[in-house]
Amino acid sequence: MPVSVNSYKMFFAQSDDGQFLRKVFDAAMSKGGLTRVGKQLFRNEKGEEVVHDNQGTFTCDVQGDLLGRQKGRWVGSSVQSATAALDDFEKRKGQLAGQEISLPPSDQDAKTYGPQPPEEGLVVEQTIKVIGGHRDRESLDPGLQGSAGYYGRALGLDRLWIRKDEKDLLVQGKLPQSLTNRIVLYHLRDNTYGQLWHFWSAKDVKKAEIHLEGGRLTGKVHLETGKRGYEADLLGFVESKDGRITRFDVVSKGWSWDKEVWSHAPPNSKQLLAITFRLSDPGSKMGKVPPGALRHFPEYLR
Amino acid sequence: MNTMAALVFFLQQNGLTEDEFRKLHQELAAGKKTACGIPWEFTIREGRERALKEGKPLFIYALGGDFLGNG
Repeated sequence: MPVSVNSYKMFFAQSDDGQFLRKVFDAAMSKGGLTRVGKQLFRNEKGEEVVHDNQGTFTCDVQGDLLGRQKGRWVGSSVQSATAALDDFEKRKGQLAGQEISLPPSDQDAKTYGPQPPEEGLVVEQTIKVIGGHRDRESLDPGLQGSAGYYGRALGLDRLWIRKDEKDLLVQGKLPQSLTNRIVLYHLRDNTYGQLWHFWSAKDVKKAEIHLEGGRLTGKVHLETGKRGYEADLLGFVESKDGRITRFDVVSKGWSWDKEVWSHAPPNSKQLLAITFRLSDPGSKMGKVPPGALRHFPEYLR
Repeated sequence: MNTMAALVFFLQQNGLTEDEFRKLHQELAAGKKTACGIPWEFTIREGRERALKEGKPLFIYALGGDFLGNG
């Protein structure tokens, strides 16, 4: 059963979920062999720096007994570990046959996942992909051998939150400046190589001309720091019916560059980056995960 | 400026054509109901409930940020 969690957020959570994860992570730590990818440094509730093994993939049963964990970074090692864990699980199933296993009563916020979307607002799902240009930075980091192809094919994901008052203006055919600002500062970036803090600030905005006219959204942006940038055209369609937004389809396409090693791209190279937006389906589980920027910018919805 | 010339002028100002829009939006966004084709749960509780119901173990993908910050 695939479960994705933000270990940084959950590690200290005082909930059943937090306690369950700490049990799994502690078991992984006790087995030793802290992996490069598993290592995470943060402060515990006492303010002490803690290094813990809580990133990667872990296979466990519903009671939190660890069956296996990834020993490497890539798909092959995860599959190998999970396959071995499945074998172990099947053996245990046989041993536990006839025993009733149940979960404790759910604690109040167990099914929520941190901050919630704005009430009566909108959730727009975002996908990001490098569709051209060059990705090959293996020579700069031998530890990433084989990664260039993966990052070149990776799909970045995120969510855009829209407030109710902004939605109401969209219904009237207007594009609120606050929404334009949010899209430009927090949602026009390459995150296909990992969720980092490479958002934009106001001083990085060299151009941000985005207009909504008759349901048709057009725009040009130029965002640049001394080390990275994104210059793109936007085209999209916003439709409403009976006071509800029924369509928010937008595409941004342009050149992205990043001279820092995180991008896994050769120095002084550019990548053709496409970013798409579409309304999240009602009840979508993916849509419940907060926007990446919210972790770093409490003013995200301003 | 006549209508056709105005249309050409407009299209030249916007570097993204409607065909490109349709192609990219369809390829990247439309119909995507899961991340990487996998029906992830995003809370341990929901994962445990499904795992218990279906008699399966949990496969936890834990990252220092939200998984859906990157694909």
